[in-house]
Amino acid sequence: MASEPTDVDLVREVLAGRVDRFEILVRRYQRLVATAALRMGIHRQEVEDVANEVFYKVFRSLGSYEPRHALSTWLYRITVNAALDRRRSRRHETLGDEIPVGLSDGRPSPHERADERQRAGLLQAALRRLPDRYRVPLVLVHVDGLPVEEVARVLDLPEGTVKSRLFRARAMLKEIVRRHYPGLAPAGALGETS
Amino acid sequence: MMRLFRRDGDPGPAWAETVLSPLRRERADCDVVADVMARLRELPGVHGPGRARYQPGLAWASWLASGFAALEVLAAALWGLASRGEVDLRQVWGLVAPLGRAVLLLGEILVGVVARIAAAGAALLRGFWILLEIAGPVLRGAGFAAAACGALSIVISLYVFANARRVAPAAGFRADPFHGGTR
Repeated sequence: MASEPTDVDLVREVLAGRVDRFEILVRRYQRLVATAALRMGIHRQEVEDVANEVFYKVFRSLGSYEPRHALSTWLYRITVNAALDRRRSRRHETLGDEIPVGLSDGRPSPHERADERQRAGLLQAALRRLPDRYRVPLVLVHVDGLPVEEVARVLDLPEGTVKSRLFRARAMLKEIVRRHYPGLAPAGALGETS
Repeated sequence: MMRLFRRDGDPGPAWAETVLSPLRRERADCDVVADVMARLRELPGVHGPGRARYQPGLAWASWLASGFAALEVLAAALWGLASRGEVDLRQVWGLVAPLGRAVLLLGEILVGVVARIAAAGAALLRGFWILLEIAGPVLRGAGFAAAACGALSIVISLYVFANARRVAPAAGFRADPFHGGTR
């Protein structure tokens, strides 16, 4: 059985004119891109549009891809930028759902179950309160699980800057959770934060 | 190492991991393969799978190679016929001579075109040189005039400054530079 072509091989083939080989790359990374976009605060119904846009941009700028870095790092970078662009263009539309009604005081109404998705929705609302420059490294490190060095490459920032933004982002998130979403705080952490 | 950089208010990575854990379990599944590929095929210069891209360099080379191959076949066939005595050499010459004339004519045309382009370029260069020769004295004159004007302006400036110094008010030691006096 023939082994799977590597990302670099596929990129070379696409650049040599075999556009059909790009399909393999899309198939390989579409879940990663969609999940990253979702975690960057893109609504679930818009994730597909963002993924489509990301792969289109990837194809258009494939010539500038540097094979010394993993393709996934480059994809993360394009996804983060696409998600931020989308959020900026939709900011006026999404302003209304920044804080879910009835949950902003941390007391879920009896009709709403605190299931996983709801909790994730609350978290997204809490994260939206953070400026992009703090939210993005926080999500990439603590949600996507990327090491700081890779986040530095994705965001094209020095590692020290990423670390200092992480400190600040965690402190800000802690304050947001304490003030607006106390239900999200880990058990036993409320007393510590106040 | 992380602990060294820890700052006030930072609850630490463990806190963030715990709080953000529901987001970590969030997954998005989508299938954009068909849409992306359809969009890409609409781009100018992008062809669908299985369709060869037109490459001008390759086309030229293949035309040239097939031309030489045809010539070779023709030459070999004629040589074979002539060596077996099936065709008279004069007949062969009758075939080859017009071909040679055509090649010579093509070469002449090519040389003529190149010569005309070279002649036009040379004429342009010659004209430019003549213009430079004509404009030389004018340019030299303009240079002299500019230098004379510069020297004149220096003389006038010297005169103006000398005159200004002569008519300026005298300054005493008691003059206070901080309250409107002069030194």
